Amino acid sequence: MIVGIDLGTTHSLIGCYGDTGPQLFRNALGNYLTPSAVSVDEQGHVLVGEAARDRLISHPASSIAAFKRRMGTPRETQLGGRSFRPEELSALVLRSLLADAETALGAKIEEAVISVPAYFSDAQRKATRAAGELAGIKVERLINEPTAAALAYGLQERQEGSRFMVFDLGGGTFDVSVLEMFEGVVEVHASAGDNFLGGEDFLDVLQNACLTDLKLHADDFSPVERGSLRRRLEAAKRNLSQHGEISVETRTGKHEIKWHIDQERFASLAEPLMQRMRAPLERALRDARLHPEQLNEIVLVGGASRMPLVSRLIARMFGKLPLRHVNPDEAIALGACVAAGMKSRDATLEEIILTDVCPYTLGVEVGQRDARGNVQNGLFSPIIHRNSVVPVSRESSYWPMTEQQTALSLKVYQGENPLVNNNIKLGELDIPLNPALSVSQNEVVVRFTYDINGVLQIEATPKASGLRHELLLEQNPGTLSETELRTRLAALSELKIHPREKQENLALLARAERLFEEHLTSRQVLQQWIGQFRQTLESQDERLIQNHRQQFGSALDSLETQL
Amino acid sequence: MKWAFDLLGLPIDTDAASVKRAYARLLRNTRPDEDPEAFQQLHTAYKAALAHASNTSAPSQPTPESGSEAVTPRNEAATHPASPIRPAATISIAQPPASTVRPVIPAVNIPALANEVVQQATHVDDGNVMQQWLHDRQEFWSIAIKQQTGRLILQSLFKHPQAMSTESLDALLSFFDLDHVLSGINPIALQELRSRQLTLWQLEPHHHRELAREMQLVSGIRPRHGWIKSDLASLKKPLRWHEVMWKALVPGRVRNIGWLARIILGKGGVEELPPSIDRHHTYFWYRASTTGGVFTTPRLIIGAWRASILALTSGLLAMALLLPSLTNQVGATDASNRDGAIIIAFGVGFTPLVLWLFYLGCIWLDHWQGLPESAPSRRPWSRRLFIPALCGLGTWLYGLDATYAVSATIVFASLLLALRRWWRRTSKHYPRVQALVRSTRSGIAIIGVYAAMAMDRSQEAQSFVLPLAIAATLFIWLADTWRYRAQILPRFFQS
Repeated sequence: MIVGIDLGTTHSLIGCYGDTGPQLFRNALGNYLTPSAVSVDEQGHVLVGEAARDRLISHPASSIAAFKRRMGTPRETQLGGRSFRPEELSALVLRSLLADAETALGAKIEEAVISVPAYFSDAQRKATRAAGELAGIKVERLINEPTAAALAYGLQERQEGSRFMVFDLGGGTFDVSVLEMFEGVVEVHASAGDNFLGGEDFLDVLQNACLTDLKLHADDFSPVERGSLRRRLEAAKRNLSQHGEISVETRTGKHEIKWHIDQERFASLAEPLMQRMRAPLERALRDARLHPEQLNEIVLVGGASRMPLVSRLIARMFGKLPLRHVNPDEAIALGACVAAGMKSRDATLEEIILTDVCPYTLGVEVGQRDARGNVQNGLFSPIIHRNSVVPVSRESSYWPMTEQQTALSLKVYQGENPLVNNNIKLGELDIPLNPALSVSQNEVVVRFTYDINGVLQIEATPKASGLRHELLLEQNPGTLSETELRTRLAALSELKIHPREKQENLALLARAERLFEEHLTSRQVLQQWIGQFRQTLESQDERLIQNHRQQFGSALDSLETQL
Repeated sequence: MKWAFDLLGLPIDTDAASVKRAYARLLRNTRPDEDPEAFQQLHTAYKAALAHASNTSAPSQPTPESGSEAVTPRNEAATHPASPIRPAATISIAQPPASTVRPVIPAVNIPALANEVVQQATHVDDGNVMQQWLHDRQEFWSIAIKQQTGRLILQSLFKHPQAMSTESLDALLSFFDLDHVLSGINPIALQELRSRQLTLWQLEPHHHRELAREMQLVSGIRPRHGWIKSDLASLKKPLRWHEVMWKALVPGRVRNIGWLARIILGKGGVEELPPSIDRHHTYFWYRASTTGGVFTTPRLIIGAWRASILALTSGLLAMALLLPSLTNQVGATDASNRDGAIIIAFGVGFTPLVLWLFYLGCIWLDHWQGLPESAPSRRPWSRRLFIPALCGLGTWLYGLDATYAVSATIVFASLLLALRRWWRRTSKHYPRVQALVRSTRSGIAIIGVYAAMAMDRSQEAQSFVLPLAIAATLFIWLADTWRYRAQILPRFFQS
């Protein structure tokens, strides 16, 4: 059985393609959405999901979320005396998801399809694969998130000959894809995006505005207070979408927070973010060679697309309102499940074929002589143009700049700018040349191959010698090497992880501890409740624990609604 | 085009819907994840066939230039050109579903808007201000309007270049995503557009400071602001010879105006000159300021003019100095004195002309010998064997026991030439050593000084210096030839 996984910035989901279509699995707490948060408790046990997210507020030093944004970088995080790479944190989330799936299916899971933002770079994709391996599964395929959402949507609608745009604004990433469905073929025409734009940025805007209005500074708060304020504002952001205006009244630390904001103000604050969304939308449409009115529908997915601002943006840009037939939180995961079903050649999906594109341009640095013989260096020479259908393999010839050149330095870049300085460098390779030959004889053929999973292979062959040189992009500091991966896997399996049965209790305790941090008034009561619940847990009487859990849960619910 | 339809198993000129159906059918046997190469072929054929099918089925679509009328969202469908992948059968789906409400956008006059944007860019020098202005324009939120305006702006920038700062231009290009459009076609075109707009902007009266900075950057000389101002003014008028002659006599003036002409022409090319600049006049100075082995008519004219003025003044000066002293001598007639003075003055005056011709010859020789091996040549062997021939001549004269100074001068000239040839034909960079032998003038000076010194050196000291120089010359020349053996004798040295 291959499962489909949506490894999101804020939430992650898992599911598979069953007899009735894609189906998602619930976690230990009975939810489809598992927060992508990791925390390490005092005993060195790892907590993932709801409990970890609550501990972000009560124990900010030993908890972390939104690490998807760091994928592909070597940045490590210190949690409970141990440092984690972003891959390892993702692997912990994946393990928790897999435990849920294994409970639901009653079988061991070894393969998965994981969704990644379409605009993820080579290093980020490799990191996601590494995370899968660290979690003990084989990543059969990486599917682009908007493509996955389109698969889910397309199968649900089954509309023939339609073109649509998927607008995916998640917690941390923004992706746009233009697709067409005909005769069972799901063809992606173009993808564009921004890897650092998502719901979290809108929350940052709100937080900054709030602090500026109240003449406060982020340093005035302890990390715990800051986390608590952020949580308040996140709730406010959600309510703002529904009510049009919202008041935040709370006491955080020694500061009284009394703040009011309406939709109009929020829109003007978020204007720079909206501006950033324009370019990917326009580019995707132009690369697909379509005009706005040729699109049948615009499908919004991703939790942050619920904001009314997004609908307004679409209306302003396309002259039509977006449709939302899909659940924005679940569409990508459902699509990943469909992709998993296709990968395992499910009979009901036999007729569906998906073709995807490479969302960015890949090329090398070149120097060029202009008409007057001046040399211009640092120019970008594309080999695979963006939005080429994948798998794709292209080659291009290059010559040395001068006579007597002994080597050709091949620098590989990804990006859209004509100057390489503004693009992302992927790797570098020196190809030895025979200096006795003239410039025209020293031709080097460079071949780029970009496969269906977004993995790039580079080969360079000097024509004179015929020797093949291969560039391994693993040397990038952002990606883990094979041996490093193995040692990390061994280290990770030594970690103690709370068993799945205990999750519910732990989540409840974490929630109570978070409320304790947030609410000054009911601290004594909460402390009492926590102590009582811990006692019950120690009794190890399953029936007793269950009863107490229900009581405790509803008590916490009422406390939270009160405040 | 037939190959594409053949691969899809269709007769040529099948409509787009059938092409899609055939592609979908074939795709089941060539899945992208199973057979990448066959899939690439199939997909290329599919795209080509689809483009062909939609081009032939919709030939009467309007061109992009037809955006002259006011466009509202309602008649956009009529003014847009057909996309190559727009099949005839699915045009009806372009209507939005009835449930959605279309927000009303006021009618916009696209050409006027494009014009306004270009005008704004010419007035604003600061890129951030320009970007903010563009972001604040409500019309451009609509993709349809933005696409059309961008297209018109690009056309207008190429057809009627306007002076605008690079920052402003970049803000404009990046807002309409035109830089990506251009860099996709030809990255050099984008660079040329950018530098052309920049030149136009720098030529405006209040941007001379930027022009001077640019001149200093590319030429390394410190330009004079007063000269730039007057030269720019004169470049707007036709060429007048008295002006040329006057400017040629001021030291550094030709170089200054030459670099100015170089910047004006070197960026946009002769065709792209701003209308106010006189083309022939600018081109004259551009050609007059060439250096190295490029001999143009204006350069020779100015050189000859300078040399003859120098000859005239030095001759007159010599006469003025000599005539009084000669007339005062005892025992000589007036007439013979005058004749002697005239002859001496003529000789003094003649020297600058000879020196100038010698200088030109040296430059040419240096350039000719420094050409790369791949440079086209009618008699490549004469270029390759010139140095040993020259060196041989010197040796022969030495053996003949002719004037020692002559043979030494020739041998040392060939040594210098061999050195220059080696450095000029090497791709490696040794700034310190190269600086020593870089200038042709210093080379000529060295020969002159050596020749003068050789005349009164004792025979013993010279006996080992000259053979050493001959050996060094031949060694350097051989090393240079060995470097290029594969190109000189490809049959023997190529693997």
